Amino acid sequence: MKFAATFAMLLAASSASAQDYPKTITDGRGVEVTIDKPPERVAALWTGAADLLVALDRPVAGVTTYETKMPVYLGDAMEGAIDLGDITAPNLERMAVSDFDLTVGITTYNAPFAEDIQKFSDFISYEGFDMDSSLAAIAALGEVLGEKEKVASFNADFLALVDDLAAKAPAEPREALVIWSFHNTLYGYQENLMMAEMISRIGVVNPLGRNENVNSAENAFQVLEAEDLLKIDPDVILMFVSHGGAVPFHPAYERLKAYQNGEIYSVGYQYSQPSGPIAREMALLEAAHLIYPDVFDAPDMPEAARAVPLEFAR
Amino acid sequence: MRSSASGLHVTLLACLAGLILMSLRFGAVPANWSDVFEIFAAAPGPEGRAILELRLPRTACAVLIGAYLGLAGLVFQTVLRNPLADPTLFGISGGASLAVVAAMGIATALFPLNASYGASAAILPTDLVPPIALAGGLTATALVVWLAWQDGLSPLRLVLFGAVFAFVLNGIVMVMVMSLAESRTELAILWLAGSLYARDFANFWPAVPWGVGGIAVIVAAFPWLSGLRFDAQTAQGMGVSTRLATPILLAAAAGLAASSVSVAGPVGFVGLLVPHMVRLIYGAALGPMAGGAAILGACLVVASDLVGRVIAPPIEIPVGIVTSLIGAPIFALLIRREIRRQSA
Amino acid sequence: MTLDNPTTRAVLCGAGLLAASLAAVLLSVAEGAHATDLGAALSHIWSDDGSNVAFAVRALRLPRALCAVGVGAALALSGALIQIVIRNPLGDPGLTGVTAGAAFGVALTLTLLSASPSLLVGAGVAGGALAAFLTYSLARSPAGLEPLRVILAGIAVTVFFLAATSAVMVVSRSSMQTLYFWMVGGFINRGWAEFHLFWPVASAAAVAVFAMSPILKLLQFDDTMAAGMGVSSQRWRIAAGALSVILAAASVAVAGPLAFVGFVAPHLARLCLGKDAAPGMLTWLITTMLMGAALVVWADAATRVIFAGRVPAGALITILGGLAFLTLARRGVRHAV
Repeated sequence: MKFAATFAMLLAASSASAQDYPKTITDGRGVEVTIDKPPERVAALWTGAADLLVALDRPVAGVTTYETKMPVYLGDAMEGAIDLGDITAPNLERMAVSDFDLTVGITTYNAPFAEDIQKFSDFISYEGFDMDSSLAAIAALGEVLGEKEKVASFNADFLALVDDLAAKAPAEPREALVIWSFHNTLYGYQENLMMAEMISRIGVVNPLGRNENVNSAENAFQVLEAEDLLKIDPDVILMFVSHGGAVPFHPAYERLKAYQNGEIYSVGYQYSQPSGPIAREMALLEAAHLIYPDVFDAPDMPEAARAVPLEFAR
Repeated sequence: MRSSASGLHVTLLACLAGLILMSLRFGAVPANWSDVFEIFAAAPGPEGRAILELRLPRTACAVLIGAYLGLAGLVFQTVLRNPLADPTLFGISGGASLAVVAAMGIATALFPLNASYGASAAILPTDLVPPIALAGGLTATALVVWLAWQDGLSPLRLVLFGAVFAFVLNGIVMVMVMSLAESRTELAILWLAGSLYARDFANFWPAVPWGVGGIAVIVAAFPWLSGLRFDAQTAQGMGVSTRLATPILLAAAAGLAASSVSVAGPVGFVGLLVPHMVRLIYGAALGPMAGGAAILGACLVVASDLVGRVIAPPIEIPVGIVTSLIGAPIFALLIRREIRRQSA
Repeated sequence: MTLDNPTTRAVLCGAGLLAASLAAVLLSVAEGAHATDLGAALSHIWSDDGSNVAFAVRALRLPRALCAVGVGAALALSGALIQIVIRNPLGDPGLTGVTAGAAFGVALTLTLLSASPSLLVGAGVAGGALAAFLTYSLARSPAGLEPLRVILAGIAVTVFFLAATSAVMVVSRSSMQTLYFWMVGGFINRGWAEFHLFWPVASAAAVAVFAMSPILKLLQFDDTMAAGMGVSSQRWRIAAGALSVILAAASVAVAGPLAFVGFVAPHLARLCLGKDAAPGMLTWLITTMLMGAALVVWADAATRVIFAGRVPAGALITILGGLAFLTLARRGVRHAV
């Protein structure tokens, strides 16, 4: 990411020239939206948008929380951004008085309220549950922001990084499972979901495979029972603990390779929202390190976002 | 008596006006009184626009559903001669919720994500919600009445079957919510809590004709309503056919309640509390009480929505949760009073 | 010895329900992520060869099935007790506020406090007891506990705790969907830890219930009749009510708020035993427990098959239980109110 950020700073002066506007784009909903002038104050209801703005070294005017958490992996870039409340029901009044030029939403949650949001700023929305849609959404958003080439290069760099990691990864693949947990309910990510898809691309095996039966990647998960974990017995488990803190202990864990080898990690916010250019790179580099510690070094990243060994409550 | 009732009406309307102004003035972002009056200006400032575009329509919705629920509650309690009757406890809200959530599920199945997100990507077309809610609410009410009917409608049987039926419907709604796509779940849950989030005139207007129809029926059937206050024999002595009047009035009140569900989801206990408050204020005259119930219901919902918006911004507490938290303890006290009275 | 003979009928009922429960337990023990046939699964119960399959059978599938059996029996018994205490066949822990109170306690602990699993059971029991106390205070009157008042007060308390639970869910804004998953109730990932917290409480309560079954028989009738036989019925009613609360709250802490089992099981038990036969109290209680166990363990097994683990057992129990409730309430309970 360092590379991308430096690159962004170098180009910041030359970007977003006003003569490209007004421009009409088709957003993630398939709706045509005309943007009159280069958007200066951008509200990011979708974390991926906040992430892209930070990557472009531009201010984030407003941001939502997810599971009551701010995107800590973006570091102090969120200071000064207006807290717009929860991602599923952002506060419309705050949006109304904050003089945003553009509001970038997440389609599933925010598109139903598009008419209200449009009264106060331009509104576009995207979805990024899998890698293709994420890359496409980021590229499209780059164009809206007047940074088409730069964002295209972010995407190209990221795909190159994926290929590079895939080439360096050991020929003997390891198995890793990404889990979203709420107390003893565990949701295992199948390959369709972006976080699982990224690590599959570098050759890591996802024991849950791909789900061909869902019409949208957002439903590509399985509710895991303890016996499923035992059957799968992955080498590494990356768990996003939605409620924070410790996870209820279950005796089945003791029989897992990952537990015995200390390879069950509690991972940061960026794993649950990996669409943005910073999140995807940070999460992938860290996951690669956690899965193949001998091959890949720990990346440089904010300590608050770094994975730690999972704690159990007994 | 007449003049004192009009005096009370004026006082209550003044209260409502005051609450409406407060609802426009206070919220998640600070505003001044001058911002409130900017809504009449040609080009209001940002706060004025937020008030005009967001607080005004949702306050209008709050007034509408409050008036509907208050009046519906009064009709229910009068017709059933049951001080514990409330549309939300009788499966009406449950039936309307079930119908709407089922329709959401069907819509999700027919129009998967991304495929047909039009410009108004609402969960359901807003015009369709009131008739769907109405159909569900009326069906549920009819079922409850059918279940509880036993040579007439005993108030206690009706409360019991209504409450149990509401639990059953709630259970089915929960299951349906979980089988909707994951991200829609959050939206459905927000709706099921009874929320005025992002409600505007597009939600308001479709609920008006159904409600006006219900009110018209109640007004036309007012002599019946006065008769039904007394026991069946007295009512028949007054020339009221209970077999005809009871279902018609209940259906009209259920229609009002279902219309309010179509706007905001289930908002609990307004229909239970308001008639009691009105009785305290107006005494026993039914005519003034009906007007008072509508005004007071509006006051209660506007105030509850206001509380939910200012208590923990930027998070909003849905109005249905605020009214339930206020209403449930009072419901308990009413039951306690009923029990005391019966054992005295 | 014909079917009309109450004893024969009771024995047949008991044997049938026991067989049904056992079949579902066997199915649950044989069914899981590791493919095992029934014989192999059973042999693992007796001998631990240290393999993951043996662990799955012994430490995962068996305790889960036992949790379902125990919770089903406890909820059924709890419902039967309430029906006796309030002398009304509409009794169900869900209608006395206990289930909602326990669910509120657990939801509060799950969202606002970072809780260890053992605290969860405590929170469930505390919430259930608080709700029962509220219901009791509301329904109490100089004349004693009148059945309908208890149900009305219970509905008020239930509605309050449901609203409070929603408030907790919305205010914490965290994981509403997963909390919903829990609120429906089920047995996913329940193991020995939950069972060990549950069974001492539940079996002690059940033994106490059996011991007082002669008195329960008297409590079914008018209090004056009991008084005539030297029984202080109010005190025994409170004792029976307390046992019912303990059974229900412990069940909620393990499985979440499963609805309608406490109502349906006693009724089905009555139907099985024959309406006219007037079975003995102990026979009815035991049949009720077996019925509850069979219903819940089958529901858990069936949901695993039907919904492939995505929906908890409570979903099926709510829908089927609700339908059964409405049918039975219409047919059998017409003159109860």
